[in-house]
Amino acid sequence: MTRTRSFQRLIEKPSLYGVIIALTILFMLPIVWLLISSLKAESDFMKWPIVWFPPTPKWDNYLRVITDTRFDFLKAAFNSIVLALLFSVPNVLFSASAGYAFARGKAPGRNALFVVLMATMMIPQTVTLIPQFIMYSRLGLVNNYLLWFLWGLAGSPFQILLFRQFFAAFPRELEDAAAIDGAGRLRTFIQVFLPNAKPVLSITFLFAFSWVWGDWFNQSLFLSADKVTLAMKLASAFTDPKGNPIVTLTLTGLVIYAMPLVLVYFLMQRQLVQGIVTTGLKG
Amino acid sequence: MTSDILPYPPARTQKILGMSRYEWLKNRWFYIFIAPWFLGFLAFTLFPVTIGVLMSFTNFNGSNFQTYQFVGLDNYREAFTQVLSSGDFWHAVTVTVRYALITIPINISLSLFIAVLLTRNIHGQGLFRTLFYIPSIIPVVASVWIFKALMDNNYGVVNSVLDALVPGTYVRWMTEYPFFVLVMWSIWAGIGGGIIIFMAGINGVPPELVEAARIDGATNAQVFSFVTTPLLTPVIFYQFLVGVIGSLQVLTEPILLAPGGLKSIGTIPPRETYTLMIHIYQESFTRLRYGYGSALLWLLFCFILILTLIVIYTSKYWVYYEVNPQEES
Repeated sequence: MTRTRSFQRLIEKPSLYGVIIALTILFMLPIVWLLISSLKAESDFMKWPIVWFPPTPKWDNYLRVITDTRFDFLKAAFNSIVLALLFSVPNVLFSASAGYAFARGKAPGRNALFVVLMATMMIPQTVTLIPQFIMYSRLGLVNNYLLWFLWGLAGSPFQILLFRQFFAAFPRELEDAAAIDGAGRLRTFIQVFLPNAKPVLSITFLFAFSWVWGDWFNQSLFLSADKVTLAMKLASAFTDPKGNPIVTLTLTGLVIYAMPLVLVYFLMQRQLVQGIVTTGLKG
Repeated sequence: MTSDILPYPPARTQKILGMSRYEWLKNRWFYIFIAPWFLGFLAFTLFPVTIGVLMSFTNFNGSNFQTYQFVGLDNYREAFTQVLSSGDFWHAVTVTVRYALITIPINISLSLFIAVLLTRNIHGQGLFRTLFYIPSIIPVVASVWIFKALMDNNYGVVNSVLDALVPGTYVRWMTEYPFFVLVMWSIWAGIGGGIIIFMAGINGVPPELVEAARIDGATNAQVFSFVTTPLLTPVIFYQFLVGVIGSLQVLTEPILLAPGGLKSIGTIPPRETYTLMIHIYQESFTRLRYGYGSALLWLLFCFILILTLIVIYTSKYWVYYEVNPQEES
């Protein structure tokens, strides 16, 4: 018995690592390949049989994507940042206020309103697609960044839930002390709760920002070419003056587009994992 | 103990929102704080939902604001005829359901499997978890492009590898097997979140339960199937729900995966990946049949709702709920 157990242990660990590492490599290969391809010349990329590594890495692919005026990469990047900020700043702020209210308020109707909040999480946004589109086009909100700001003002159920969970764990003494000092609810919220909520503030901001940054659907539905964002631009391949697609440069652009999110994720791993576990939300 | 400073006890019995003046002063901050969310709910959810229900009974086409007519159940009747005659709507339904039926079980079981491996007391748990989550972090436009380039008919890596293994193999993935590529993409980009959630669940299993089972002589496999899995059923249940709701609405990925370099939201993907939401988009925004499109959206919504209710209703037979009397209301 003990002999089989220890033998089992002996082969178990290496084979466990073996399986994990093999799976990881399998999942990382597409990304590694994206990075390699972003440094290839288009002619090498198109060769058959495949050229695995570029003979000389073409670093100026990156320079070209950013500077080539035909691609207008920087303008689209600027638009994406503006759009994402317009949404995420009010989204975080007003999700926090609603989360705080649900965590601390005892007003009549609170539970009913909370049920409404949870129910909206289950209503697919796409179900209201057509009425929303008609409504926004009547109000002049189509092809208008203001729409994202208005969405931001409303907060979002997942974010509100995150703030509620976080604020519910705050010690009561904090706000009692503030109340004794004469602070009202708004002051308590702004001067006591918000400054102490940095982990949630940063993670909700990351969620909100990366939602807009990566959202192709709403942007291509509600915005036109003159307000193009990175997501919209990169959905189509870059082309040479004759209109032929240049895949390598498109992939280079995608690396620049995706890199900020991956880097921020590495920096904020711990809070991010916490946030995902709390809401069950997947990126 | 309340932390609200009130001016003075109520003198009058004036009612505000059914509350005494005292109660109102004590609680009004709550309503002010949730007002932005609640107004947003009215404007962006409740109002469009109401309009959408009404619209589905009309022949609204986007411009006949004054002259549209109520057509009763005609739109729904047409959808029903499509089902009977296996029209485009029915085809889109079968594609979508097939997508959900294939991806949800694979996603859940694969992420559970990897989460189990990663929680087996190994070095670098966090690092592996991070690496598996990267595909989910990458914006969908980028991750779909990666797959397009990987599986490309002419210069794709997958074909190169196949050709090296079995010379002469050549598969037109993007044009002949787009559904397969879509499924591969959704597994690659989708399991990261599941892994994180399952790992948290497994790490949350009380060690004394595992210990007790071990003392009774349980093997790893037995601990997994009789201790860990039952405790994880709430997580699996939730993942299942989110998966159903998400995969029945899939629209972006088939469009972005469609062959060709130029993409707009009106792009029609190959028939194998022509999903329900894409069909609804085409009916509404391309053929300008907003009334009929709304009816289809409501059918989709009811379908999601019924599935959700079935999952919730049956959950009492397979989901283990720990009774926690101290749970906050």
